[in-house]
Amino acid sequence: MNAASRSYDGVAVTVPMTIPYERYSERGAAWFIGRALAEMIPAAGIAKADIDGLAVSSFTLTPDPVVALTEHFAMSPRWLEDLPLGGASGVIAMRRAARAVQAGDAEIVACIGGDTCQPDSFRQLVANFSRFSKDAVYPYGAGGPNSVFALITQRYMDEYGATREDFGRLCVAQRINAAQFPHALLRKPLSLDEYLNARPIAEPLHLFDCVMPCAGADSFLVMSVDRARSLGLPYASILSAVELHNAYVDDPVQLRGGWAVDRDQLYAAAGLGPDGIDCVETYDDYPVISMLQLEDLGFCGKGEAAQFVRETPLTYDGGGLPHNTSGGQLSVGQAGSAGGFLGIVEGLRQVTGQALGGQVPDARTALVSGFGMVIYDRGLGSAATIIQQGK
Amino acid sequence: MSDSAPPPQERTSVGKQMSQLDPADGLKLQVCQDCDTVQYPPRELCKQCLGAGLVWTEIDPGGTVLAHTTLHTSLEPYFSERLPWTVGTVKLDCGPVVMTHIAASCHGRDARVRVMPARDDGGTAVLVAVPESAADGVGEGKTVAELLALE
Repeated sequence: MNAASRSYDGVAVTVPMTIPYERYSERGAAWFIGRALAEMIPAAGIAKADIDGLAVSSFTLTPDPVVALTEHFAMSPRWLEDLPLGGASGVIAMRRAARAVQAGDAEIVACIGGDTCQPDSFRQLVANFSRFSKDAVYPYGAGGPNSVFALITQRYMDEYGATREDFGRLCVAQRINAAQFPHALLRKPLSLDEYLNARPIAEPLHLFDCVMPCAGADSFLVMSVDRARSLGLPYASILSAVELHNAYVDDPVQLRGGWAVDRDQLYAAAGLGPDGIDCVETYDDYPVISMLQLEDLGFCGKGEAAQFVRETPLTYDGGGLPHNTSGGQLSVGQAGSAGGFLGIVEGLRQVTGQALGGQVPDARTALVSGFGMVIYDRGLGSAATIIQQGK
Repeated sequence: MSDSAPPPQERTSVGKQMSQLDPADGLKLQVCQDCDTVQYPPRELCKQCLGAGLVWTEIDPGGTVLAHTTLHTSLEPYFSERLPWTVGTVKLDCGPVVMTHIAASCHGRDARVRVMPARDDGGTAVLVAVPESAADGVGEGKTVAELLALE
């Protein structure tokens, strides 16, 4: 089975939307998801009834299933996807929606990641995240995802000689990008010294290695190129897209992800290589995970990401490799499942010339990768796509 | 130090089975009766052959530390009151990777350890990594605190 499978010809990804993030909200997840719909409808110049497909990812919609939203919003879609895939959900929602449009099962699919955040909701989510977590992770210090990613980060540092300064460079560059992005919750400049002197959270992780949980939504529409053109919408085409779950099952520690398995086919289907990518949006729940993606997606060799970030400007206008150009989750915040949509929404804005913050000069192609769902000691889902400005 | 809140006691039905064992019997994990695969975390079917015959069986507790982390924050009051608290991952010689509480004397990468069961302050079984060279600690049903102090 070819990882990149058949082409996505004829499909347009369009109308990137963000419902501004808030640290905490008394509102429910359905509010953020519904407001994303409400904002996309006039932006696309369509009616609510024109949306006949709905792909939603949310942790805090519970106890409601995604189908409940059709009643909340008085919609009758013919196609519905619930994507409990966390940080991989945005790329995968786009991929599934594109196939539905190609097959004729839906004409316009709204893809939305949205969550609310209340003071104790994060603890409740973590404590009950999975069976394996409940039995074999949470009782050991109850550190939440910080524990798991601290262990991965420590092993990565031991194995490849990466230092805290290397992770800091990535975080500082993203903060520079975030300063331009109006929806980022953290826009105050961050110096490398401030990064290094931050309080420890789960060693070797310190404060600025960890995302801030918050509320918000990110979304986009998938439709045919013909429809996007008739509506006069700027859009991106999907050159290739891959997803793989639980790759490298025998690795004792997650120092690589499914991207490494699928990389060659991802680029081959797109007809370009890493040097043909104008901006990269990786899933940055922790900086080490962005480093794994930079390596596994071929921007540098395995274990060489530390050297790469020492030598390569990562800001949107630095002339190197523009990376997480809205500031990423590390600066914008992690609005639950919306964190899995942040990268694809930003990549879509970049290649369609609609950046809300720093616009990468002449951006025509973006590589967006996703990573999601730690059930025990590693993230299971990996996804990646290469999108290009529609002609 | 407050003793008001115990550490997290919630477990799944299969996870609770570990607390029904006697820690003094040493480390027992689920072993598949069909293909001998040792399982962790606890589950209902063998991860390899999907067989239903998993039996809690005494296994070799030896392993190697993969990584450790010292926590300075926790979502649970029990640990918040006892910070910093260190946990780690251990690759057991018999296969699985386990997350464990870990004695200060074996925090180093690739340290050789034995993984022992013990009852936490709420009476639920947890795993603790102790130095392989520790003279005692096996088969005595020590508390978590006693195991963490082993050198």
